[in-house]
Amino acid sequence: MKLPSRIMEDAVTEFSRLPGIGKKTALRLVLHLMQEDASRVGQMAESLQRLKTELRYCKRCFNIAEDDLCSICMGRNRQHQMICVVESLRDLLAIENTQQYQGVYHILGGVISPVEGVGPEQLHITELIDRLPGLESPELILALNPDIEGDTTAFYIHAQIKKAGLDVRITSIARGISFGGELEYTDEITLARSLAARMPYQRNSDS
Amino acid sequence: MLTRLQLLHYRNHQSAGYSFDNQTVLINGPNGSGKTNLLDAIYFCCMCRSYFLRQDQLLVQHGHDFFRLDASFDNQGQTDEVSVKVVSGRKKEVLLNGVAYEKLADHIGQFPVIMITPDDTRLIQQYADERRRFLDLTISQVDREYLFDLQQYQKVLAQRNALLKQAWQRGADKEVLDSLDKQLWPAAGRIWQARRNFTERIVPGIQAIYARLSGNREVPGIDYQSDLNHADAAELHARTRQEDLAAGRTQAGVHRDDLLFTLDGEPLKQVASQGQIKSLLIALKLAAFHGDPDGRKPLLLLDDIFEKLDRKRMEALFSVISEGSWGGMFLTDADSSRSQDILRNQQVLFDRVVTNNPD
Repeated sequence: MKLPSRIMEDAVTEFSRLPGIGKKTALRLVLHLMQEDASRVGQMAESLQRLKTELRYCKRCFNIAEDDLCSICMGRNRQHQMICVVESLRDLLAIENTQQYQGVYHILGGVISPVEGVGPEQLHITELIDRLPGLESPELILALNPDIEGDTTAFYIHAQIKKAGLDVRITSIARGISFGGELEYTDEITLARSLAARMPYQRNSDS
Repeated sequence: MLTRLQLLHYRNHQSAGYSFDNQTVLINGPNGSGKTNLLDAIYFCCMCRSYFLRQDQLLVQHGHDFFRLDASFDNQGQTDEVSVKVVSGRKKEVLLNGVAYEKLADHIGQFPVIMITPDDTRLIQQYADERRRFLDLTISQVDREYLFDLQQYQKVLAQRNALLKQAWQRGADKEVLDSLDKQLWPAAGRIWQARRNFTERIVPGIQAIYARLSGNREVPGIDYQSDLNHADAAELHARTRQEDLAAGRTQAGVHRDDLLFTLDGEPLKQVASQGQIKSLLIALKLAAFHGDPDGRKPLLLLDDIFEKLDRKRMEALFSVISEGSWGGMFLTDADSSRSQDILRNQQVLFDRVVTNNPD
């Protein structure tokens, strides 16, 4: 694309490096920004820069943090002995959005996949094991994707905890039929597994 | 039964539509006019893939960038519409009554199908992967868990081989290998069980059909050969782990399974004539749903099965085939008069389709 200014060209190139943004969309965004007040654009540039200068990873759980620890790890109302293990920040956000979880997290930063060249040493598994000895009757909730890589990682974490001789309650999030789903339209594998892993029935009023 | 089929840009079918009133359909036309492609289109609607070609793109008519198939299946007054869309650069789509499947595997077995072609001699003459493919495509249609286990096994195996290959270069993480093996063993065990059950289930059917087809006394058999015949999966993979690490890949398991066809206990390849091989292959295919606990009636697709047979043998073959219980039958024959004669002689009501596409 031939543009009247080198500065504009640079800006368009930068935008088009973002995921999901092509050259045309990049140009549209740049033209839009050129119409904006200088102060707005300045604010935007500053907030982008602060993403890199002021944000870091939580030393304990690898969530995004502004200090050494993230807001969740510093939370007073959190149950710090209950750790939910997730693959990525996105999964953490999904669970946080349920507003049902009072424990803390541990972000692995991926899952074991030899095909992709990802082994346990690239993930924050050692850091997870190191967190456990200091806690009183800890519980690990494995909230990994129900696929081969997720299961491999779960098996591996389980083996590491056993090897370290730690007394930890390990649970996994339930797998089965989605809420509001219909049995008829649930795929047969999920349905068969839901039957195999059925639960004792409890009325809501009993609990 | 299949009541309607429409093809758009499928191989040499530019645009064609057929409707069928009878269970039996005879497809006539000169060589290269698209008879086999018509059968393959039906097969695709049932199995989400071509019987002959593994790459869907190769099925698109030259000069176009997509093909589409639409089929109507009628089952006791209820009509199901199956559509297939293959567009270059996009994921293939299969729709049932207008709704696209999220996983194509869910479609397999909904409309059971058997294809018999002269090409099937590959099953005996070529490598073991052809025979595993036959097992997989057939068992998948009657056992939903099987296809899931197979996909699971192949994915874990790929991860395991990647790990073993890296181990070769920089030492292996034994615990990652353990974690993968814990997923490999159960899937391997179930695949082995399903394959063994299947081969045992169909042997009586094969023997009965073979006897009728050949009129001979020799008895055919199938020997299911697997590394898991003598050790369960956990034991086998634990034992071969050191060798796997040294070789950089998984050397034993159900991915190496094979079928050995026999006549009177002797390997078929060594003793059989062309005629015996052909009879056995037809018996094998026809018996594939024998003893199916759910009593499925597969649609039978017969490509050029009368090839090189004299009139008497054609009649015999057709009468054996028509004793089976099928959800419809499609036959191709370049010679229109002889096959029509046979069907009329046997008092079969049939539709006739004549293909005349340019090659």
